Amino acid sequence: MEGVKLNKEKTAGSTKKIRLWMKMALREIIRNPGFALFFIVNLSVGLAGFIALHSFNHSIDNHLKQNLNEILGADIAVQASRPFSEEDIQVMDRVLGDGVMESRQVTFFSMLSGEENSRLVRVVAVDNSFPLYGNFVFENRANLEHPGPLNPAVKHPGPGSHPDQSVQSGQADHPDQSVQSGQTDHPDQSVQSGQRDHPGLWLTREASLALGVDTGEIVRMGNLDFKVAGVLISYPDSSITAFEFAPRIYMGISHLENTGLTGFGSRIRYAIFYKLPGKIDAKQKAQELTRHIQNIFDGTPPITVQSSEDANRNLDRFFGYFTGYMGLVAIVAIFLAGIGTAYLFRGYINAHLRETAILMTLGARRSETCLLLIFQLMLMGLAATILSVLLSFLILPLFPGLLGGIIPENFETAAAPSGIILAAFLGIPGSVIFCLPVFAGIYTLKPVVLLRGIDETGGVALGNPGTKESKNSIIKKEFIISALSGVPALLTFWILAVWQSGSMEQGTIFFAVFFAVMVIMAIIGFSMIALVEKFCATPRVMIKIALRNLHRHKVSSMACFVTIAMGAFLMNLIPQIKNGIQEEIARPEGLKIPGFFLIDIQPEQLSPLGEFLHDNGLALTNASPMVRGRITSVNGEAFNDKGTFRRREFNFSCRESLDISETIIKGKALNPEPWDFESDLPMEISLEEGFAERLHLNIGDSMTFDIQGIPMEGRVVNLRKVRWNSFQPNFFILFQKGVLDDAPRTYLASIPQMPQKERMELQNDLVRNFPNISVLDVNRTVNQMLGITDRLTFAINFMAWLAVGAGLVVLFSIVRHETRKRSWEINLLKVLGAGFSHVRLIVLVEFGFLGFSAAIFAVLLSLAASYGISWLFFEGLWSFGWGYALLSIAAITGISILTALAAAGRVIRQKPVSLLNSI
Amino acid sequence: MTLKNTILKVNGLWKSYPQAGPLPITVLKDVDFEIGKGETVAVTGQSGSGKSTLMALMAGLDSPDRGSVVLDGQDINLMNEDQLARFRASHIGIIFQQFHLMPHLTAQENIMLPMEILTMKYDHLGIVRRARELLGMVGLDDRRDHTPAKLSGGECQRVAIARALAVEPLILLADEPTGNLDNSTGEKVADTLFHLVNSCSMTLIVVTHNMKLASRCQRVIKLEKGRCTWEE
Repeated sequence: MEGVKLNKEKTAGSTKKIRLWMKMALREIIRNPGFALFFIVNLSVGLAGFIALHSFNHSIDNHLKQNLNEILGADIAVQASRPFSEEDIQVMDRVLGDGVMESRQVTFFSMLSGEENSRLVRVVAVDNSFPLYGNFVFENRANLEHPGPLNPAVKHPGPGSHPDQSVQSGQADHPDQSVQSGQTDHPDQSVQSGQRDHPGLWLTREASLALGVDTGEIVRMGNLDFKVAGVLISYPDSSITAFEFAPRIYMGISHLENTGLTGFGSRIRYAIFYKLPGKIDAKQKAQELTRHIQNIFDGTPPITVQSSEDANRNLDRFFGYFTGYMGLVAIVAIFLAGIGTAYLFRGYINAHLRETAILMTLGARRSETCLLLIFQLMLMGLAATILSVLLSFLILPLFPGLLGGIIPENFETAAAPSGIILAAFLGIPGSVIFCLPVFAGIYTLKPVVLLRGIDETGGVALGNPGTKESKNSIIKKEFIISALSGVPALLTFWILAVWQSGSMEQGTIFFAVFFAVMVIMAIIGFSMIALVEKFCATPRVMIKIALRNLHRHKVSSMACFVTIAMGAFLMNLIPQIKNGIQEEIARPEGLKIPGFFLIDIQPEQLSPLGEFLHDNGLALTNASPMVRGRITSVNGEAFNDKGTFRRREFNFSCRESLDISETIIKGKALNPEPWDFESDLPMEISLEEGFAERLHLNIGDSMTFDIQGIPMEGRVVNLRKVRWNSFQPNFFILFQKGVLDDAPRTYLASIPQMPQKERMELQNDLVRNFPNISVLDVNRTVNQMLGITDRLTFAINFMAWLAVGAGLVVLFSIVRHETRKRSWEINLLKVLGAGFSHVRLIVLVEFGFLGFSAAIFAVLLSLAASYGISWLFFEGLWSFGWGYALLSIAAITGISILTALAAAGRVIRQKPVSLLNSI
Repeated sequence: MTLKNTILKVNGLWKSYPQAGPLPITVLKDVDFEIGKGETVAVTGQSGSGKSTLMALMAGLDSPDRGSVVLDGQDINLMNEDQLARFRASHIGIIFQQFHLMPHLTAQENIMLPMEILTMKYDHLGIVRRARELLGMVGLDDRRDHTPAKLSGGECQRVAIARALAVEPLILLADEPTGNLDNSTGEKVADTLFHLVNSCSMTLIVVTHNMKLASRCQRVIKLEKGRCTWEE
């Protein structure tokens, strides 16, 4: 009984004690509103971007999950670049079993002409079973009243086709707008009112605007006229991305042959979509089907099988590249915020050592004094979390605007609960973790300081009189404790970096670079401050005092130097990395962008096309043969690319000489002599450097190909750098001359720039005379891409500004704290006769030197680190931005001086009488 | 000399600090004395004689190289840091020359603080009642809601005295309690201190070089170059 009573008393005592320290912590925060405000703002600025980005990622995940089946349009999709054989179909039927619904689709690019305009479009030829998931929404309801489906109401040939011919999916969701069952609205069936000879066609709004045609009007594609049966607002997989290379049109699959566009060499994708019955696991079925198909084709099948989850993963990867970069920037902002808060807290603790010692003399245990500080940190961390979540609510809605044109129109952002939990973790225990090294000051504090005084400037509480040895031993002890207690903060930073980059290797390297930079900065700072001593002998008194201050306050000068340098480093790093990316995506200078890019030129069309262009005062340039084929093995091992391109078919070409947009960076040029088929020597191969890197290929490696059924072997002799944004015909793989001479092939070519007013006329003439050739308007595409890259750049800048903002808050906090700490000395100087201008000069020299030297070394290191990071993460896209580097050196020096003067201004204006009160 | 009712026993106390040179500087050399319960004792000596070091060792704020400090039968040098903190809280009251009040707490809150730290011994109402009683005893009833910044030096020291007495310690250690005050205020503070100590029959050790203050004590211990001599 006694024991129970004692336990109860102990618990009650503990609760009372916690209440006491909580109350004390709250009082302390209220009593130090300036510090608390800076701390909270500092932390929340860093956290806000991170939470907003996390919520954005979460919104993307949600969007993809909600549209999981619509994204693929099926549970399972089987795709190939050739028509499916009977054997293929039999395998699919066998594996997937009875009860599946199927829909067939053929996609390719072609030119579509209206009355006045023509445009490259992505043709999606579908049967009446399409879509299996999702629905079509038309521009206005009146259009839905069109009679006639896309295909005639006949059963599709081939096994597995089901009898339901009308468009079904989504009808429940959008009964008013979707194509109604039985309304015979598919454009493949001849339009019944008046123009019975014209099959129907659905256009997306973009295609309708580009061609200047509307519902009921006639358009031409290949050899066939179509009637526009409806203009689409959305279609089954429009929830993926708003950006498409060419606008989409839907036609009936049964009219495909009549267009005459499916001849040899046309780049056509054939697909069969399957909707599985009941609770069959699509992922498992897809894997099973893949295994069966692999068995038939000896490991390298020309058919790919995708489940809806695979499609989701691909899209996730697309967004992942972009948000990965933004995430690393967000971590930088958090790291900066961490530095700022730790620095502020260090100053705060040093200023409150006396009070801590008083508590100790009154009976508080060391652990209880730490608890008091932890409670303060947690309360401020909580406030920072709340503020950062509120800030993120403001930032998050900006993302869809920032990425307009890239993300789907119906994309909605929502705050992620996990983001708020993460923010709470980073804000509450996170701020304790970041400030742990600062607690070292408490561990070395002895209450005897109340009898002897505290050295607050260096952050060291002297337990014993200030002899050199004892001070050094305390500093040493404090340093060891600080270093050890810094481990959790570093560990947290490392985990965040690994998590955000999604790779143990990349996250670790990212982290290691930062850690190494900190160590280097500390070494440089130590050397700089030691060097300052040599210049203290100057006869100019105020400069001497300033330099002596730097040297004598070694610990705080070092901390100031390292923190400013780290802030400057991080502020420079992001823009330096950005430079390279931006330069790469910008329009290349010195390279002439062609006016049109021609695709699918048949060999026999080369000559008449050349004559046609000649008659129009133009020339056909860069005509490059293109043959599709498969890579079958690399260095004797079967090629099975699962991770990078996830495809097996590639385009191959031959060249007389390299284009201006490409340069050999490794190896020798391809042999100019045509390759001899009878020779035992393998043909020579040139690879694009990024392609080679992703497939881990190098010079000397052997590769075998299946080109139109003929096995070919070759050896890599060089790696090329290609400027893809030149818009010239370029290829990942080039073969030695002569290799493709006898292979059935098509050509790619370009036409130089021409006056704007002649463009559409020429394009329409081209389509009329060569209906199978696809014409890409390079100017329009470049503008479209530049628009998107501008948006991406803006989004990247947006996050970089957030990091810079966090850096500036840190810088201001540091300098403000440092000058406040020196107020006693400044007042003393005034008492001793120094004027305002003298004091100002001291502050200017001291912080000007720290800011300038830290900024210079930070910029130099940021150049090296940004080069390394660009090489590691962004395929070596790096260029040196002198302007920003110089500007940041000037800005950091200027901000250091101005902030110091602003912060010191209050002290300078103070009457020296405050010296008497500052006990 | 052995006293009846000894409350504090200092045995062969040595304390030295390392120096820049090869030899450490010895501040206290074999200091021995005993103090009886309810005694008032002054420790005097010139600057550098080791007064403050002795005070720090008696309060358990620092540890000696050799020797022991036995308070109420317990050798404080054998205690670990946490035990010492709690022992100090309940057994020793300390008054500093610079007052060392918590700046953000009011006069009453400052007095309540040591009692709040010793949660097991007091309840909240008891703490408030005791703090107000002490404020009345030091004549600061009307200043209870003022923070130290709004109090004069003399008032701050009176709050510090009240705080030191709050937990009814066995012994009160005062380090130059009037050192930061003018003569007149210093005398008033000393009057308050001695009045309270006498009324509670509390043991008081005052470290001072103020001979007038020292003369108010029953005994004086004089330190010279780290060694102590007795004076009546």
